[in-house]
Amino acid sequence: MLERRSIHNLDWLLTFSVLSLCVVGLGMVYSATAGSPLAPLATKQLVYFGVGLMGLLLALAIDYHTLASLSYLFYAASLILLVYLLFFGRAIANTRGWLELGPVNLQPAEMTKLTTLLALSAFLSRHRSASLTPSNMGGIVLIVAAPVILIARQPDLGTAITFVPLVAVAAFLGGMRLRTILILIMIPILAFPILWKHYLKDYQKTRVVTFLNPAQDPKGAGYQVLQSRIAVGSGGLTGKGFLEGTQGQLKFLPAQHTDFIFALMAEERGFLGSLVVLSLYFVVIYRCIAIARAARDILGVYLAMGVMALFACQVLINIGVVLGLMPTTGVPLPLMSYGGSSLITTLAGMGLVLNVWMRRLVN
Amino acid sequence: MWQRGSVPARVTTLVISLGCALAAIQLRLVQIQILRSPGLKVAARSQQETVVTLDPKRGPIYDRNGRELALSVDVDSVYADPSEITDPTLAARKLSAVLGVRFEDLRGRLKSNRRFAWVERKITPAQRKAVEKQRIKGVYFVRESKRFYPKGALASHVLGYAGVDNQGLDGIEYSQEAEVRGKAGYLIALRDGRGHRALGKSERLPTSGKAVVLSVDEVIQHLTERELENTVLEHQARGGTAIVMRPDTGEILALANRPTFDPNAYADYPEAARQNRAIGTIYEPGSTFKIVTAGAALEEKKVSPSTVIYCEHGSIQIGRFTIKEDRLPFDYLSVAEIVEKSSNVGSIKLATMMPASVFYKHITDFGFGQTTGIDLPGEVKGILRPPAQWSGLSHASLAIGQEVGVTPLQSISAMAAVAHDGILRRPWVVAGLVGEDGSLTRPARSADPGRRILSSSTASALTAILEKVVTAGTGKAAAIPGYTVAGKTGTAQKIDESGRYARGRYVASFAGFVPSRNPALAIIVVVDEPHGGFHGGEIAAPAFARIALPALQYLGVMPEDGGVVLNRNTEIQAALKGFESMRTLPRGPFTARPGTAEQPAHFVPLALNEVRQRSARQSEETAEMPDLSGRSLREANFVMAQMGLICKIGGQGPVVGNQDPPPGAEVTAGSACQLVLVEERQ
Repeated sequence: MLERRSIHNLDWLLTFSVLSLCVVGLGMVYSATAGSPLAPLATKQLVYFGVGLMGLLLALAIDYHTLASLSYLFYAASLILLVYLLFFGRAIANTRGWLELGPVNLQPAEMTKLTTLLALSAFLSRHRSASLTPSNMGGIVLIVAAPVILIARQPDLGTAITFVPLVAVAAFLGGMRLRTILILIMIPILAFPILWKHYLKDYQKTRVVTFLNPAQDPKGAGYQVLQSRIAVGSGGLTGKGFLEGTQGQLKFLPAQHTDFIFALMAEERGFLGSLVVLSLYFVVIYRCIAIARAARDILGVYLAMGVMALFACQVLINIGVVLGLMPTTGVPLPLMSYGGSSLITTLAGMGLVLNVWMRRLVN
Repeated sequence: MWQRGSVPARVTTLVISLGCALAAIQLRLVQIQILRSPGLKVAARSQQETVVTLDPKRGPIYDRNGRELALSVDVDSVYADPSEITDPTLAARKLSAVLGVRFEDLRGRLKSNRRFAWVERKITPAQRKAVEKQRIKGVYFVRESKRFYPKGALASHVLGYAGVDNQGLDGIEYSQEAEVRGKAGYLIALRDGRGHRALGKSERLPTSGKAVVLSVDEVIQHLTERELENTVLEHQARGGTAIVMRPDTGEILALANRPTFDPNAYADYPEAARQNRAIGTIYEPGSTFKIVTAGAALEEKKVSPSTVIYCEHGSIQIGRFTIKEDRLPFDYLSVAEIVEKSSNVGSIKLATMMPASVFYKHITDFGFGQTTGIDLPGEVKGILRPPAQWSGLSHASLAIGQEVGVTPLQSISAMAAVAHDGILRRPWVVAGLVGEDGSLTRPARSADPGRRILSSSTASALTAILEKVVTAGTGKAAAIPGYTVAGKTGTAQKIDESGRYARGRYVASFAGFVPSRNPALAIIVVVDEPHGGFHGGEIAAPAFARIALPALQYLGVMPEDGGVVLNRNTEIQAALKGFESMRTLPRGPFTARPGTAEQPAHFVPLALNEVRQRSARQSEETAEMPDLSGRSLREANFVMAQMGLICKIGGQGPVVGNQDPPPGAEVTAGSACQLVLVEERQ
């Protein structure tokens, strides 16, 4: 399967960037948990990293066409798992989205992102047409909607929303008119007041309000936003140094090993460190797009762009939240935040992209 | 392999929009991490660090023999962390019941958002127990240092007092604040996001304040207070002041006022009781001022003491006014007799022999119209108008001590200048400052040699005149058997609110020095609005004698007539009557010794070195008990005073026979030991 010649075709820049981000992430998880009861998490994350690397190799080794042909099987399996979770899942933080496997808890919703992407790409490459037909669009929506609804029922709206880029990228590549896309973007904005009045829950409203004015309630809802800003800002140009981030070490930062790990990094490594990390993320995103353009077939394009969309969306949302550019959503930072499922899924996704690159030349 | 031409364009759009998003993030990072960084760094520090101030211990105040007049003791204070208090109303009710703090105030403090609120400062051990019993979460204790004045009201106007934050508010406590207070330390504690104290980051230990050694002698202070008290009570006076000064150095040995106050509870006393009248109130000196007039005339060589002046048979015309003698009319009086018999007419004639500017210069030379510069706060300069503002009557009025306002301290300083061969010394009370390490600073003031305001011969002539005042004149009641006293009485009518002389309201005073030819003490007694008499000679002069005699005996000043002081111990016991604390405190060596150039006779050297050694020793904690057997009581007393040990004496005899603790035992400063005196060396 994995031919010797293929090694030379590995995208070293992407591989390097991904692994660098993982190493930085491991360091930050260590710093965030050192000296606290959460300290064992750093070791756990190292294990997840190892598992993730194996996932990456697996996704790289098997020809992506083979994977696509099996995609409906994976897709069905993950849907069954999600249904199972609704009844027997382990609830953590009020979300019944966790599968307990011995000492580890996995979030199948994360893996579902990849299986859905595979199924979607297989579907679109099989039903190709000059423009996006209503039946194609229907298929896209149907494939994505099934897991999204199941995940939203857990309820884990944050994770469910991260599936949206899949639809967007499919519509985008499928040739949907820009005007249609604009209209689709306008609808939720116009519908917002109605949503606000009838559908948004109180905690969701609070998030929006505190995003707009965090100082209104610095000890309560605005706490995370404010503490995150203090952490990032007090890092200054060069940062306070590894393990010296006082905001983090003194536990002022909430969720500092998961959703707010970027804030801790910015505090300890400063503006320069943030620049390096952002550049690495940019390289990853850029390489994914480049690989999509170089892909041998439309399946490869969809896979690379899909992984890119999932990845870029999470990075932008997470850092946007940390820097106070967006309301708080529970989205982890890919490759850096603590969490096995997210890390393994992201690495496996990167494996798919590398797979597309390695097999870009027709034999 | 893109199918349609539009797709690469779309990808370009996608890359551009992603680039924009990343650029937005970059800009935001610049904004937060570069532009707003300083402010956010402060925000981080302020929420992470708690600065705990460590209060310094205020330095003690000692009298000249190293006896404690003010010290600092550790007491408890209660504070609360309002964020930990679940029910502020209930907590406030419980605490206010135990501590007597106002319930509403306390509840307000406990409801605040702050992390620290005082409940009550400086409580008693019993109150602490009661608070502990309540078991209220979020209520804590902290050790604070509290000022304690072991002798109560003794020398309160010199000492002043310190407030609840240990800040000096008056007296020495105020004027020496910079030295006595010490330097506050701090502890920067890091606080975590849950508000717990995480770890100490840096600290600076507080530096204790320096010890102050005063020139005041506790014993002389005590007897001065006692006699002033008696005088004021006897004459139902409104108030009074007595100052005992050493003429040759300017050091104040005692300074007392009535009414007085207890600095331990200064807030319970009215402002008037806390005022240091000795330097803060002015009175018309009246006849006392005639020594200035006579001194000026003698110094200007207009007259000699024996020059005879015609005293106009009792009245003199100044412009439209006629000034009369207080009592009898006089015809011919010598200059000496003018002062001795306190003739108004004679004094006016002496003063008018000089031009106004010359007379004025002599008055200011004596120190009137300006502060003496004593190292106590609140001194006023009195009233003395320059000749340009004088009326036609002023020259004459000043001659007899009217139209001039002086403080008791100005009066005694002027008198002391006559006593000290015509040299005016600046009065002072701070003899030295001793650091914790034993370092000693002596204020420059104490080394100020002063300035000559009268020639030796004039000073000597005035002394002779002042001796006559006591032997034959108005001040007979000031005479002390065995010693020659020089002094001058003063009786002045008070000026009421409207500026006119108030009928029946007088200030009676006597200022003098003794022994007149080798003065050890200059003493002034001023009695404000006495009843049953108003002349200085009948009211203030006896008090002078009652202060001077035991003080002279205590100092071991030999009587000039060669008479033997009776049992010195008996005299001292008499002087110390009613002064309980003295019995257990080391007295130090105070016997007379021959005078030298540096150290004139009958003065104990200041206990500066003892205090230094004590300060240095207190850091060592313990010392070894010396073998005192066979030593004289005086020697033993001296050794023990140096070690800060309290001495109890039993038995009778010249030497120490037995001691407890035994030689070589570990002792700490401040502990007591017993000495048994025996007849002969064993």
